[in-house]
Amino acid sequence: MQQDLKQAMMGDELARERLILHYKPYMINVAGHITKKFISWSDEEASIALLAFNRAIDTFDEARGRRFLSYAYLLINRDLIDFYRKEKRENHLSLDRSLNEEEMSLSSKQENEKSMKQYEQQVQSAELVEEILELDQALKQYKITFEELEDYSPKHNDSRLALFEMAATIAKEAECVELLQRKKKLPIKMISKKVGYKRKTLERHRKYVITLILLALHPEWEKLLQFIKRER
Amino acid sequence: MNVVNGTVVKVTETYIVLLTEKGTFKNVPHPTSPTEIPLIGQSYTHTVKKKSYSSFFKYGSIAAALFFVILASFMFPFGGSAKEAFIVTIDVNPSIELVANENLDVIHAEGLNEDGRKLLSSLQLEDKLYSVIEQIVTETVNLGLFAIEDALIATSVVSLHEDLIEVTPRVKEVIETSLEKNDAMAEIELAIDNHELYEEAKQTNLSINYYREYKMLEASGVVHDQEGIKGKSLADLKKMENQKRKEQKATDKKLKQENNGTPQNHNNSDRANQQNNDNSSKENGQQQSKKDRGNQAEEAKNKGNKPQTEKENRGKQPQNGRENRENPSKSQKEPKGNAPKKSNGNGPKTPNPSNKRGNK
Repeated sequence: MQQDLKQAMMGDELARERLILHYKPYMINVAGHITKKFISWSDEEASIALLAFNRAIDTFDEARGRRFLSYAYLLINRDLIDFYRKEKRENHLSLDRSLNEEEMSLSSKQENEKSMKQYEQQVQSAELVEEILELDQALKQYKITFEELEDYSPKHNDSRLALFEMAATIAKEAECVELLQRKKKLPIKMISKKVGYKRKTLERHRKYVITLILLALHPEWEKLLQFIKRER
Repeated sequence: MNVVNGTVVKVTETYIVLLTEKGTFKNVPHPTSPTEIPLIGQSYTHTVKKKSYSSFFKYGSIAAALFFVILASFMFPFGGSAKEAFIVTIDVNPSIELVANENLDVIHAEGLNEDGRKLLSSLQLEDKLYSVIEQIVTETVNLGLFAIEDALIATSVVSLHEDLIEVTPRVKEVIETSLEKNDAMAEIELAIDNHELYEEAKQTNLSINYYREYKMLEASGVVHDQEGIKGKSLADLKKMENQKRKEQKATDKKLKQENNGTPQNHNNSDRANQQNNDNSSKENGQQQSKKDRGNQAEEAKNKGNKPQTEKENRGKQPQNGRENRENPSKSQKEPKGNAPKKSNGNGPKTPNPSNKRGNK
């Protein structure tokens, strides 16, 4: 994504498209967090967040020591606050507009700083967010959503550890991985034949096993891999 | 309280999807007061409030119990006044037992033999005792069970709590009326029995009318055990009883001839008969009046008179009545109301047998 960001900043529209597509769940989540309500893409707040994100691509300066996600958050936050203030002003017209604007710019600066601090405290690490977004993108290719993984997750500790081991073993089987990536389906027959796992177990936890294999295939997702450590 | 800890990976309209510390995924609902939507990557703790099932079941069971109590009170509005007060047993061939409460509502009807059960199953029984008796008699007539010679309808009334003064004559009246309505004729025997006899009959698996007849036959030495009456109808038992009486009479006649027919001897044989009847009554407390009538008929014959009709018997009722009152258990036996009266079993046969069937 770092590469796409640089290309988009240099004017690559496709890279910008990819970037926006990748961070869409993040934008909508931030918009909901700021407005304190669930936001869908049909809401005006979502459009404001998208526009703010697009502007963040253009104006991001790595040299200023900020992470792109934090900067995007800052812009979305500021734009949404401005949007609400504007709405409020239109409803209750003030007599002294110049004074108000001055006050607002001062207070918005303070609020921005405060919200940035809050954001950094809340989010464990920007890397984790990046990894979650990347996993989400990867799962989409397999037509898997995060919310349906609960049904495929193991209920007992023993089966959970067995599945971790199973996924690590399958990830090492090149033929199985190749078939999985090509067909975007878990090759249950091949796995049970080659590795000898029970078909019933594989079928029952199919989507969860795919998620684990994807995690195993991406060792760069260090933060996420912490969650599926076998000794847990 | 159950706590779910995890990292937010997605926020949907209904759920917050968490990647738990154990590496599994969990969907938790949004907080009831949406203070804020958590950010992706944020650590999140969800507290599951356990539903207090115990209190639910506690109150639920109380509600269910109350419901059943109310339901039961509607189903049994007399609140246990389904208390048995009378037991009426009707024997033709079908044996039927009716249990009624103090309001004369039939609370239980049972067929004591196969025919009785069949008959009951074919009827839509009414509520009141007298109506049910009428229904049973009518159905019995329809089945042609009174089309035989010497048809008999034996009825026993056992009182458990109430005074029977009103019930007994009314039961007899209902049977008579029902027979009349259906142009049928049968000998009606109505007995008032005590609960002990009913219980004894129950233990021997016989209807109370059968059991009473069996006891009489056993006392007179005709049968020695229940095998002797097996497969026989009540009318057959009556015939057996009559047969025995005839034999007794023949013996008496022989004795009389031996003694040249002196009145003294006749009195002796009469006294012997009376004694026999007394013994029988002491055993069972039944059939007293019938036997008295038989003796009176014999007396009449000795005097050269015609046998007495039912009317004549009724004329002598005070005398019999006195005897009946002396016995704790009494029995009334007489032919159907409007039919020409049939002579009693142990009396001499009527000169014209057609009289037996009445005007029908």
